[in-house]
Amino acid sequence: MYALIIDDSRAMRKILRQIVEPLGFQILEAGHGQEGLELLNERRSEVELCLVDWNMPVMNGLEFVKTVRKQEQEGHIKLMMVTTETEPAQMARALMAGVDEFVMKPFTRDILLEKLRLIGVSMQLPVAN
Amino acid sequence: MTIDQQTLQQVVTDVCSGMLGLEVEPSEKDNAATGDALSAVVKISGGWDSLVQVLAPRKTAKAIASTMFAMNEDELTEAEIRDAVGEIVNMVGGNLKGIVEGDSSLSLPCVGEATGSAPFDENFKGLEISNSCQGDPLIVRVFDRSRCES
Repeated sequence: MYALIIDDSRAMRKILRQIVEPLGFQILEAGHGQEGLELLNERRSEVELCLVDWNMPVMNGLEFVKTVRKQEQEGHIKLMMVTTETEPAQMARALMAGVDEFVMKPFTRDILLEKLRLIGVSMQLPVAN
Repeated sequence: MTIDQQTLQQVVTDVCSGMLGLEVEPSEKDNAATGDALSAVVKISGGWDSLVQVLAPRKTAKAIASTMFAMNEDELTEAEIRDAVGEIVNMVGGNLKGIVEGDSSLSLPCVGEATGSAPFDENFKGLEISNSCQGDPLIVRVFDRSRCES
């Protein structure tokens, strides 16, 4: 299965990739929502999880979420916003739009993994040495 | 809630140490170190009108980018170095925005050479903290535009 990481920061995409890739996902990366939609439409049935920034050029994370949910015919892609946005009103807007969970930046690997567990993302955790 | 030095320091520490594992601690300001530096700025608009700047000498910027990209400093491109500093100011600005009451929005980060420390200069009167990040200087400034005297 694929995880799609959408963030305009290459550094943040790299950080998220380093956490999510070892869980057994193949990774797709996009620099904004529009690019993310194009990648998603190519592999929709294979994408289980999208990690989406909010504040991005071209198409922001909220618009991406709205579009994905509107296009969704069957199945349910897990959408997690990874953002600095903490205002309750904004978070409510995102939840209404179809976001499954939030992770606030800054975050740790453990926090992200816990949030992924909460929304039922399948994980192949590496065995500790 | 308003932003004071202690709050700003806590946010910077959470971002740099808590998430990225960088060694950050308050330090005396090193004016000489800001000569060849990168400036990353985000604008907060709405309920709280302000600018947040991260001023990172190139050595610091490379150390940050090296950690974020998990690459050796000599392998980093200029775009990667700027991206890393931009993400730091994005996270600091976003967290500060969340602390202050009122509905505000955060701009995308703008990263450039820090010539004259634009948009601030030596007469800067806002909030400023100086840190040692991986042993090198890192300055973070907040300019509350609603308190700006015309």
